Amino acid sequence: MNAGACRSTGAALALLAASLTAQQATKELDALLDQLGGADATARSQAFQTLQRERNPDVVGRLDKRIAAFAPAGQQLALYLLQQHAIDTTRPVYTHLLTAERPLLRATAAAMLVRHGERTHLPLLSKAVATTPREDRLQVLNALWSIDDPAVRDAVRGYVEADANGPLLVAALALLRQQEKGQSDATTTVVRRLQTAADADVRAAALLWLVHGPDGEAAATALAALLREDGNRFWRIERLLERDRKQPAALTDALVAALAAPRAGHDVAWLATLVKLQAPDRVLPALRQLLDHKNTEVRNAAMQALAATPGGLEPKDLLQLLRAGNAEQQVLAAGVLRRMDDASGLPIVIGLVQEPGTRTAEAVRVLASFRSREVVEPLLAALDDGKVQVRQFAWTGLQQVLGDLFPYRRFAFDRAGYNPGSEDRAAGLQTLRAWWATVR
Amino acid sequence: MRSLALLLGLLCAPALAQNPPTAAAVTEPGRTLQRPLDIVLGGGEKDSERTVIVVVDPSAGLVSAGFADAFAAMLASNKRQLARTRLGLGVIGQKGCIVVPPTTEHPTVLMALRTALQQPAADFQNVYADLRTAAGAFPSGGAERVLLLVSLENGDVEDDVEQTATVLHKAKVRVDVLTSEATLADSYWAARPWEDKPRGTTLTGADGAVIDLPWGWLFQFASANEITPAGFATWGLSRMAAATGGRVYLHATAAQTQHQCAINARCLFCEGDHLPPDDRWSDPLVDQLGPLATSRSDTFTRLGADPFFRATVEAWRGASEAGLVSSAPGVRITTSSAEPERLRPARDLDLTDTASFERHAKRAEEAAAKAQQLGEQLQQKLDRIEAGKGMARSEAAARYTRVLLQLTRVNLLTFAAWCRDVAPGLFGKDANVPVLPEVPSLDGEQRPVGIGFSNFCLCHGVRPFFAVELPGKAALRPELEALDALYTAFQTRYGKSQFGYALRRNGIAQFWPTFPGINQKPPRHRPKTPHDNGGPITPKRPPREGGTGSSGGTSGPTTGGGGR
Repeated sequence: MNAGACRSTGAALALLAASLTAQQATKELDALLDQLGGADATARSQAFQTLQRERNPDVVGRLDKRIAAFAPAGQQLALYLLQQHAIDTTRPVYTHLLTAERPLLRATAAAMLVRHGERTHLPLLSKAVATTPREDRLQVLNALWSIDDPAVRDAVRGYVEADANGPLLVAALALLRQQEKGQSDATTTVVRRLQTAADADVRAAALLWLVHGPDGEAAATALAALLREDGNRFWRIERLLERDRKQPAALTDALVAALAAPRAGHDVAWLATLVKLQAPDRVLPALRQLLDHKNTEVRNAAMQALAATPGGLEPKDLLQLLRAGNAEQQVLAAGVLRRMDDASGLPIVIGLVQEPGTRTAEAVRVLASFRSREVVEPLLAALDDGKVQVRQFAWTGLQQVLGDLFPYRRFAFDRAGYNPGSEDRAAGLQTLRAWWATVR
Repeated sequence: MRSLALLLGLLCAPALAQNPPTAAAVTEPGRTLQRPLDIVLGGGEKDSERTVIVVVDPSAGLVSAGFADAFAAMLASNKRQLARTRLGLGVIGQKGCIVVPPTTEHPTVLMALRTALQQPAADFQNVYADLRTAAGAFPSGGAERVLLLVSLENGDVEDDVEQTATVLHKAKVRVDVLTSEATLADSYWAARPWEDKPRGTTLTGADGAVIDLPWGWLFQFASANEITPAGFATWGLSRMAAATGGRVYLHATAAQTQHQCAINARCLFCEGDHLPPDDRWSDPLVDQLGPLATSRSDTFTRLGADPFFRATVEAWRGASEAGLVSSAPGVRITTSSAEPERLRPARDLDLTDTASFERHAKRAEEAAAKAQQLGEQLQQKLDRIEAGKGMARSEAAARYTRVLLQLTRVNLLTFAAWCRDVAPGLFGKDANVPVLPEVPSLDGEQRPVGIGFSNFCLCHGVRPFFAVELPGKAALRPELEALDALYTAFQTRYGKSQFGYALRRNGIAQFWPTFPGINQKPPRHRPKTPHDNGGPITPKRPPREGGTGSSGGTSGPTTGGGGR
């Protein structure tokens, strides 16, 4: 066999191999889509996760042909997968879905196309929204963000009915308030009818909507009673709370109770602001109780909120925490004091960071927030910590500290040869230490 | 009886002379729209007749604040009190000003107000001329006469303030004002005298009749006089209220910004999370430092007799002649008084327009010595002034000037050291070769054409700068320590006031070589005000078109937070 023949045979074999690989990949993709559209919930979920992770562009064309035949739950997941891809590739799929039998598919497709400039589909969208059965309405609402159209709003207003479930009602009202930029008379009229609904959550959502209206005080009193019945009800309707506005006095207890039992750290700041508006004398006791909360995030958020509240955390309280608190409290107190231009926590944080046993990412982050030459050595030491998060914080912090302490010098940290994610850090550390030795 | 009155007058005269009215005496707390409307319009007794003319300056800010809705709500909630009140409406800029003569048909007024606010004006308006016109629109009779001027934007467009006050006083009209907050000793228009304005007017904007705080300090990128909230209205509007027995209500939108360490400057010491101990102002201190609300000529007389003001003007003049500040006082001090003086250009040290580093260093060192001399002279004068002499505001301004002289000295010494030690190492064969992670400060072979600068803010004080590597290094340290002592003493006394805020708006300069390129004018910021629920804020000033034929400019301040 001559060389030319060898080459052509090799090429043919390569082509064959590639073709077989492609066929295999197609087969695997089809199998995943079978699972996605099938009845087995576990298999469907696993297939979705795999497809979501792979972001295979071939999935778009395949879904175009198959989505209509999927089980309802699979259709929803297929819509999520489509949203991973550029509109230029998914536009034909959405266009086909405009004639799908299921209103959810029509509404989602039309919403996507409207958002990308095809506003001619608005009538179809509003009709699909209006005809969506109750079990699909929550998903439809999720698809309607940023669509501002009176007919669509009318259709959504149709979801505001006495026998709606609580989450659906809250989602519909939240969307309406956002799009109506407040409360329209049309929506308020519909909401008034819900005050006698059987579901207490529906009644609570309606009352919360009405607390700023003409009969707001009465609505607030009724709502307060419902919130006292079930402490968790507040969290189920809080999306409808106007967070930047003073609420009727009847709701103060409910807001204080919510602040005393936040779901997570992020609830603390906005509830503290709201309670401060309602009853300034009640915010500090509620926040102070949270300093012993079991969740670290909540404790941190409470301390930050206290520090931001005049009289909340006076420097003497923070200094007491510095002296007598545990390591975590000491770090927090030192950080807040630093923000108040008091660097008395610096030696304590340096001590905590220098000891590998007490060195935490948070301590390193707080240390790097001090603009002092004393922090450079401990940060250099933390660059070689066993935990990557500690190293990352030390690296980021060191760059900020050096940039601020030496404003007339220009740095190229990316050329220092140090990478906090790398196992081989010795050379980079040596470079950094050598430089520091020349300027310290 | 007449002699008794004369005797009483003579007895009261010294007390009155010692306590001339200040803006604090006429300024109400709070920043909402509802309160002034409820007090001014709903404050009448239900059985007494009165006439209230609301004169509105229809700006975009007023529209977005929801003034028409607030007015409607006020009408609805004060029906009984307004039963015998005739309401009229004037619109600034409309021919003849009055669009609805006083009437008991209040819905007509509301409708006309809504119409007027549909087309907000964006150009300069002569509010004072329209006030004089509106004074003639009150019906005859003995009923109480109140004019509520609502103008967020145009208090700084002055024509004849005193004549306006006289006309209104003679007409027995009380003027209440709803306006925005001015800037402390605002120098914005003084620094831009070329801007177009309506015929017969002068653009001012400061909270006092006289700019009593030196502005345009060398190596300060932004003038503190343009970005510091005063806590009071522009002088012209405070004067209207003071001269007619009225009150001033300040308005600010609810939208607030968080504390901002620096405006047009860089903060070396935090990442925007600063909780400054002085962020919340002290209302009594702010009031104590309020400007006079007397006529401009009375203000000159009063200030001319004030030892602190005299010391400030002298130091200001010296600084101007030495090129340490780009402005001149605009005040001539006589034996016991003061009078306005034509603004003269200050000396230009010409330190940044060329790259002659050695020459610049020499000049800067000479200027630094002058700053030290002026600072020491001012300090000696301040030390000699007896306690209780002079006004609190004048003293604050004098002590501010003292700190600024030392800050300018620090900046000049830094500059000289940069020119001598740093700049030559940036170029050509003298260029330093640093070791990694440090790299050369400049790329390429381009030659510099001048020197640029920016500021590191003083929001965290001076002491943190001890850790920062600045040109001059160890030699600079004693100067920084001296600045720290002055700064700390000043902030201990004035930190929670407009003057403390103003000092924090200054900074230590950073220098760099400049190369041929395009310069861009920085935007102007609106000033800010203290707020009930937090510290002062600094919203940006929206643009406002110029007067007739103007090519544009920016407005006077309309800012704020909550109540003072």
